[in-house]
Amino acid sequence: MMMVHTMNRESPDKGLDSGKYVRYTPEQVEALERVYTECPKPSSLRRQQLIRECPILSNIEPKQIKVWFQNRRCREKQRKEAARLQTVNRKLNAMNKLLMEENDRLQKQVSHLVYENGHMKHQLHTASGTTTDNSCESVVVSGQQHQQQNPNPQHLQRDANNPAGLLSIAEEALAEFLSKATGTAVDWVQMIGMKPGPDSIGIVAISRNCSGIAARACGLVSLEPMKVAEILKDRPSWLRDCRCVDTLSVIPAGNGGTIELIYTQMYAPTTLAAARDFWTLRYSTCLEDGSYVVCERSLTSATGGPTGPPSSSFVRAEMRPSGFLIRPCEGGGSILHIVDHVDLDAWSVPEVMRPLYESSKILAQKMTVAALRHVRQIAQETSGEVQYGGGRQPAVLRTFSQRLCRGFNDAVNGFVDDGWTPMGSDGAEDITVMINLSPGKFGGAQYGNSFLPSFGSGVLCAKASMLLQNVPPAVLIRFLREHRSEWADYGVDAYAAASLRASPFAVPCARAGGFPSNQVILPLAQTVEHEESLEVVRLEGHAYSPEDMGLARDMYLLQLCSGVDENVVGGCAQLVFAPIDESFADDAPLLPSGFRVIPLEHKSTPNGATANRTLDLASALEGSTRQAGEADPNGCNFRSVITIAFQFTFDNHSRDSVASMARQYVRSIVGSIQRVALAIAPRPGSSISPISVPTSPEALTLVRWISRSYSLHTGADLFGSDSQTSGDRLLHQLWNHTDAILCCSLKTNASPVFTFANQTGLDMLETTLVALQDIMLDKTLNESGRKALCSEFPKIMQQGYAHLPAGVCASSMGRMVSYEQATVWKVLEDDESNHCLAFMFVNWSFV
Amino acid sequence: MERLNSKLYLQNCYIIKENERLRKKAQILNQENQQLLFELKQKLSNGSSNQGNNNNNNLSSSSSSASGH
Repeated sequence: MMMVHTMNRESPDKGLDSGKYVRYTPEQVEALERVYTECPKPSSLRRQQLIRECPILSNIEPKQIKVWFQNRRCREKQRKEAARLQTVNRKLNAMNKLLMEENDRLQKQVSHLVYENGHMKHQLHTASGTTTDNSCESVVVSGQQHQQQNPNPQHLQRDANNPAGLLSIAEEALAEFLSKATGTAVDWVQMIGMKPGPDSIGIVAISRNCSGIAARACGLVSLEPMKVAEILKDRPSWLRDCRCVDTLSVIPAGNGGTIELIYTQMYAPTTLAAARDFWTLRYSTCLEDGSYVVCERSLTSATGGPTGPPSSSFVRAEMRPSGFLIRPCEGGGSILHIVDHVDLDAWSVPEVMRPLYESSKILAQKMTVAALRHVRQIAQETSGEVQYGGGRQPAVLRTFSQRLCRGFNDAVNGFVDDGWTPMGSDGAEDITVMINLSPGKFGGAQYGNSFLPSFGSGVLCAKASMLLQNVPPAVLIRFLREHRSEWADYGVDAYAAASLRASPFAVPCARAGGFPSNQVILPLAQTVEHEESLEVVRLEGHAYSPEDMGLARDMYLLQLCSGVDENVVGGCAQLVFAPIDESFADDAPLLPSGFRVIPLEHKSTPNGATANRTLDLASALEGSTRQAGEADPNGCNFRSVITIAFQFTFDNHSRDSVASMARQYVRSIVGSIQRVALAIAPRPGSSISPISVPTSPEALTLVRWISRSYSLHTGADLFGSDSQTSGDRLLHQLWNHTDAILCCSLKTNASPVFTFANQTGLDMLETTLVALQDIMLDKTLNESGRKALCSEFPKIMQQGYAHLPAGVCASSMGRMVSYEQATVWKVLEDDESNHCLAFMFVNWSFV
Repeated sequence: MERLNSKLYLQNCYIIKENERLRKKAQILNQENQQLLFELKQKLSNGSSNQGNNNNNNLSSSSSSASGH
C-alpha cells in the first residue's frame, strides 16, 4: 500500500484510484523489488536509467520511483525490527520457562527440607529414650548425595554382554543423567564469572562434594533439536582435547533409540601427566515428552558389559552418567541441558597437578561450556549473524583453529603411535626433545611428499613445563601475545617460516636479545562469546646490518588465542601459532607451537558466601584489589602450570643443529617467562610492606579483641612491654609476630576450623587466608595435643586461658611441626561475649 | 511487542532474584538439617546406650533424593 503524493497524471499502467493512493501493478512491483535486492538505494542517475531501460516502469515519474525506494527501505527496517523483537521475545520466553522450572524445583526442595526439618525437630522433642525401630527408619539423609550408591548386587549378576543387558545399563544411565541435569542428584553451585544478561542464556553450575568432578550448563540455542544432537554427538568437532573417537558397535534399542559402544582418547593438557581415555556406552533416545536425550557412561567392572580396548599409554578414566537433554521450543529453537561428570583418576597424577584433575571449573570450561558455545556458534553462523572474516566462511576458519589446537596437543603429548620418539638430552632435564620422522603429520597425508622430501627428515619438538606462582593465566597469555618481542627470536621465526617453503635456510642460533622485529596483528575471526580469537600475525623484520639483509622479510603466523576474556575468571589460557604462507590456502600445512597456562586451584577453596569473611581480612592484610567473593586465581598464593612446546622441521643434515637451536630457544623462552612472571605477579612473595597495608574495621577489631582478651585473662601483654593497644600498629605487630597466632571457631556442633591466622600462622600451616577455613583444628593437632586441649578446655572456659605443653602438630600439607608451647585463650568481643579461641604456638619449627 | 518484551525481561529478573533467595534458603535449611540429623543421631545413640545397644543396628542412613527433578 503506497502513500504517494497526489498524482494528476492519468496512466492506464498505474491504475489510478480515486485520487490519493497510487498502486503499482504486480509486474511493476516485481521489477522494482528486483532492483531493490541489487541496489536498495539507487542514485537519481540510476533511477533515470531504470525508467529508461525498463519498459514496465517507464510510465512512472522519477519522483515516484524515488519515493517507492524510500518507502521500501523504511519497510525493510520495520520488518527487521519486528523480526528482532520476535527473536528477543522468543528468547525471553524460553528463559522465562527455564527460570520457572528452576524456581519450581527450588520451591519443592525448600518445602521438602522444611518438612524434614519439622519432622526431625519433632522427633528430637519427643520423650527421649523411647527410641523405637520406627523412628530410626524414618531418618532421612538429604542434601549432599553421593554418587557412589551402595552397589546393587543385581548389577553383577546381569549379563550385560547382550543387547538387553546393555539396554538396562543404558536406562539406568539415563535415569541418573536426568536426575543430575534437572535435579539435585549432585550438589550444584552456580559458577561465578559467567556473563549475566538477557541475551546470554546459559546457567552453568559446578559440583560441590560429589565424587569425581561435574559441571552442567543449560541454555537456549536457535537450532532445532536433531541438529543440536548431531553437532554434540560429534565430540572431536567441539572438544579440542579430544584426540579420537571410535564407535565400536551400534545396537538399536527400542522405539528408535540407539546404543553405541565408544572408545575415546583425550590429549593430556600438560607434559606432566598421562593422557586419559574412556570406554563408554552411549544411549540416544526420545522421551515421552518429545525431548531428545543422549546420555553416556563408562562401562566398568561395576556396571558390567563388554570390556574396552586396552591402552598402554593412556590412563582409563571414568565417565559417570553424563549427556545432554534437548527440548524443542516454539520458534524452532531448543533448550539444551548438558551434564558432564567424570572421574579423571586424580590420584595417579603428581600431587602438584592434582588440582587440575579435580577441578570442576576447568571441566566446565573445557567441556560443558565449550559444547554450549560451539552449538551457539554454529547456530549463529547458520542464521547468518556471524561476519565472514578474511573473506572466508566461519567453518573454514574454525578448521584452522582446530588444526592449530590439535597440532599443539599432538606436540605436547608426543604419542608413540603418532610417530614420536624421544631424542637424547644434552644433560639438563629441563627441556624434552622429541622427533617425528613420519611425513604428513601436520596437514594430512597429502602434504607429506612435498613438505619433507628427503629421507631422515622430520619434525622436532622441544617442550617444557613450569610452575608459576601468583600469575593469572589470562594476564600472562595476554602479555605473551601483545609483547612477542619480549620472548621471541625473529631469526628462529624466520627459520620456521622458510622451512615451511622447503627452501634451504641456515639454522640460526637463538641469539640473546634477538633480532628486532615488529608484529602486526590482523584479526581474522572471533568466536561469538569472544573466548577464542583467530588472527594473523605479520612479523616485519628490519635489517640493521648487511648480513641480516637476507632475514629482513615479512613473515606470517596464524595464531589462536583463547582464555584471555576478562569476564571469565580463573580459566585456562592458551596461545598457539604456526607460520603460514602468505597465500593462506585453506589446506595450508601448519606446524603449531605455543603456550598453555592452566590454573591449579585447591579443591577446598570455598567459592561462595562462606569465604567472604576471611576474604575481608585477606583484603585488609594483603592489600589485594580483589572483589569480595572471587575465587583464588586472582588473589594471592595460587599456582599455575605453563606448558611450552615448539616444533621445527629438519632435514637429514640439520637434525642435531636444529635440536640444539630448539633447546636453546626454549630455554631462553623459559627465562623470559620467569622474568615476565615476576613483573606481572600481583604480589611477588608474601611479604607485606607495612606502609601499604590498608585496613578494614573487621581485621582491626578482631586483632584488638585478641590482644585485649589475652591481657584480660593472663594479666600480661601479648607482645611484651611495647605492645600497641589498637589500630594499624597493633595489626602489624600481630601480623608480623614471630609466634604463630591462630583463631579458631567456637561452634558447638561443628568441628572447629581456623578462621584467622597471622603470617607466621599461615607459614606454619602452609596455607593461605582463603584456604584457612578448610583446616580443622582436629586435623592439625595430634592426639596428645587434642587430649591436652580437651583436658584444659574447662579451664579455658572458666578462667579464660591455658597453656598446653610442647607437642607436635601438622600443617595442611602434612608436614610435622613441633612447638614449645601452645597458649590458648578465649577471645571476647567488646560486650564480653565469646567470639572464638585464639592459639599461639610459641617457638615452632618444621620437623 | 516491545512492552511485552520489557515485561518479560523484568519478570525474568524477578525470578532470578527469587531463585537466588530460594537457593540461599535451601542452603540454610540444609545446614540446619545436617545439624538436626547430628543431634538426632546423638540422641538415638545416647538413648540406645541406656537401653543396652538394641537399636544401634537400626540406624540406617537410607539415602533418598532431596527433591524432584
